[in-house]
Amino acid sequence: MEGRHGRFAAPLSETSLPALYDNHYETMVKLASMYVDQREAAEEVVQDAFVKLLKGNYRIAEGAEAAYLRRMVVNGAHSALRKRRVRRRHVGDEPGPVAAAEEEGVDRSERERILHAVRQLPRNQAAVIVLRYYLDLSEADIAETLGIARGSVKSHAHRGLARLHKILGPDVRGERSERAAANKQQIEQQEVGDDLT
Amino acid sequence: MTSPDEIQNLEQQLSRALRAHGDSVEAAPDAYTRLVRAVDEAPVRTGRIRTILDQLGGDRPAGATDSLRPLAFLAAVLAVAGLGAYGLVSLTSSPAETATAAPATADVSNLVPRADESAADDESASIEADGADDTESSPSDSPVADNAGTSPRSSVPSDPASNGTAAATSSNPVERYAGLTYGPVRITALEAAEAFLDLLAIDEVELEERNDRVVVRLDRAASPAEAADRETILTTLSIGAIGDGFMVVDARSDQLELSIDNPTIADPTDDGIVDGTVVTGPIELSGTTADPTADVTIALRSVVDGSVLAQTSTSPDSSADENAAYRSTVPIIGAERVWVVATALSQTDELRSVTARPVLYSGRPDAASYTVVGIPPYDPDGGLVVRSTPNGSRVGVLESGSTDVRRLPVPPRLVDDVVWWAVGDGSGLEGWAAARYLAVDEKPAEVTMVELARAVIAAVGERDRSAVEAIGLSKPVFVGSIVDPRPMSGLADVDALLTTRRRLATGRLTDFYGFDRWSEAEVFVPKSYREDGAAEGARAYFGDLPSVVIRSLNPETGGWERVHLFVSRSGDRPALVGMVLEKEPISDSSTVPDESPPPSDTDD
Repeated sequence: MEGRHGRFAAPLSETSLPALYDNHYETMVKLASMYVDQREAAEEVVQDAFVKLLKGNYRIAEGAEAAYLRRMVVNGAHSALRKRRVRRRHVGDEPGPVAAAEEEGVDRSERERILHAVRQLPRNQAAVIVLRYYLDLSEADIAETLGIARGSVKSHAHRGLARLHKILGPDVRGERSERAAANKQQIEQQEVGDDLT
Repeated sequence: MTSPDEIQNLEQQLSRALRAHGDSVEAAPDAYTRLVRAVDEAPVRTGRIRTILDQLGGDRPAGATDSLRPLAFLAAVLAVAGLGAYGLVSLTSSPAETATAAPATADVSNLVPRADESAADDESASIEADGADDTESSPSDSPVADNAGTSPRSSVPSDPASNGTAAATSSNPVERYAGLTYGPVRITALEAAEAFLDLLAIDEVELEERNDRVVVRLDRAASPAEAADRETILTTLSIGAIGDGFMVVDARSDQLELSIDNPTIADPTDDGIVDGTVVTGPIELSGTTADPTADVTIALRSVVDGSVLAQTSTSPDSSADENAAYRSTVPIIGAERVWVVATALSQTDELRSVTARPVLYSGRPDAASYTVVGIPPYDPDGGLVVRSTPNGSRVGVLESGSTDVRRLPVPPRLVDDVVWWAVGDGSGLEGWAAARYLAVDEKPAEVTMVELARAVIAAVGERDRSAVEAIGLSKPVFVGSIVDPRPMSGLADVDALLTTRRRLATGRLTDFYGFDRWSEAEVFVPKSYREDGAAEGARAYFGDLPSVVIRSLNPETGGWERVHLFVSRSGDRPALVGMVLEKEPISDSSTVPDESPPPSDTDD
């Protein structure tokens, strides 16, 4: 009997790749995209995580691959985010992602504002917020993913929300969207009036 | 203050925004192809420190032993030099070592302690803070590393001889035993720096050898201003040769202080894990940090090679203005001596991180003999596997409960996250075994389920009731149940086995029940199962293995409960491979079902 993760835990091999890809890849890319705003960068983070998982000689209990991947992706994405911050300070802002033509401008703007605020949070706070409100993970799962205590999950969530509230201000309650919608309606009415005249 | 309504609104907005963003992201069409290529091209990761240590083979000069104790420092200071763009770190030999070490060459005598020194070390082992900073030296003490050239961390010099300060090589054979290298080894400052930075888990560094020092660029992307910031944060970093490995022993900051106070080990027996020289169980740690917003990570690192054995993160008391207290528990299994290393990572400035001075936590001194403990009842080996090398080929099995296991005078190894001891027993079996399953044989070993079951099997096999009673089954016995307690009749046990296939397959035993007393034990053979309808279920999981049933009357419910012990007789002795708890229907009149009559000679 030996091994920290149980007798039946064996290092993952490359033969696990197809199943891992099918089950987790897309989700992990979406998760990474919460930190980095370029899809390519998110995929790079996820690919690195997969490579580490498969070549790292980890002994992972059956069913625990997702938690490992989540942790690697969160760490990798945070690292990428940090590098980008440093680069931006000295090189200047990179162009953001190109907006999809069909996306609603107001909604996208609000979403980007919230995402931007989340990315400004300290590492663990951001991770807890994303895992909780995007992946709907339980406190226990978040704790396992981040390797922190459940109590820390609560405190990070609490602090993170308070900080987000401070960053986003009252607009997060929807006034901005409502104002934007009202403005849009006003413009449309004006255009209709113009057409009629 | 934020009202609950506002928080709820915020949560809704968050959830909506994050999901909308997630929905808008898709993997690239060629993602799988690129991933396969990336996996194919990536090298298999090996422990960096182990790689470095493996390269450090050298010879043992006559007499070079005791004057250089394992706890002496080999190389001392990483001092941040103000060279403008980056934080620069110089690595030197400590004054204590310079007399015996070549310039810019760290001479580590007994990198792996000699056999006769291990006991002495352990006798003095205790929770102690190491006097690491005693050996700090200034950059002006630096010996010279006379080769220039940049060496990214990913490329340890594979040929030390190509370096002017290379590890000494010798025609004398290196003394080896069981895969371990003895004798003094010499490493370059560059190699040492790489190893130490690995210990600190500092990833983004680049090492460069210059005329008089090894330069460590802590962050290649860092600007001069940021590097200057960092200089004021991480001011000194001390390193040393501790015991049989290297360890970063101190990192200090002018701005962030982090301390570890009194690591204590909680009662490991809470987990049913046996106490002993093997440090097994939770280690409780507390300390303070000057930054209340910092995330504190506490790692237990092997004294063998510095690798992380266990790690946890915690947040200090955020209400404190300074010197915020933190407390955490780190579970550790199977390490006899560990370094406790706490690192504070500030949330407000990622450049500000600091590691407290590690403390050494030691388990109890070596014992003359050890007992094999903690082998799960479903373990098909029925004991502790002994191998030719750590994780190597199998040479034998130490049976669960064996009490005459002794350690060979060879230092432990950490391989695949398992601490391995070189052990032997009275039969001449020698090899490497996982240390977590060896406990000090200071007191009568607790009877394990396997021991109990084996005793039962042996006794009932001989139809010797007195032997069974002598085993102690009249005392409360705890067994695992993998069958939901529910009324059964007829072929219900077959159904129970079939419906619990998945749970059986995992090998987990759940829902523990206490039996107040033993009533009867019988040996069933497959034929018996066929007759009473359980053969199919039994074969589905345990083949044609014979089984033992322990039957007991639950005095509270009046129902009968049976524990099926499935036994393999492939070896010299029966080995328990499966266990099922079965419950008979609870009778209102407390009568016993026909198919399971109570023994006539029970003792109630």
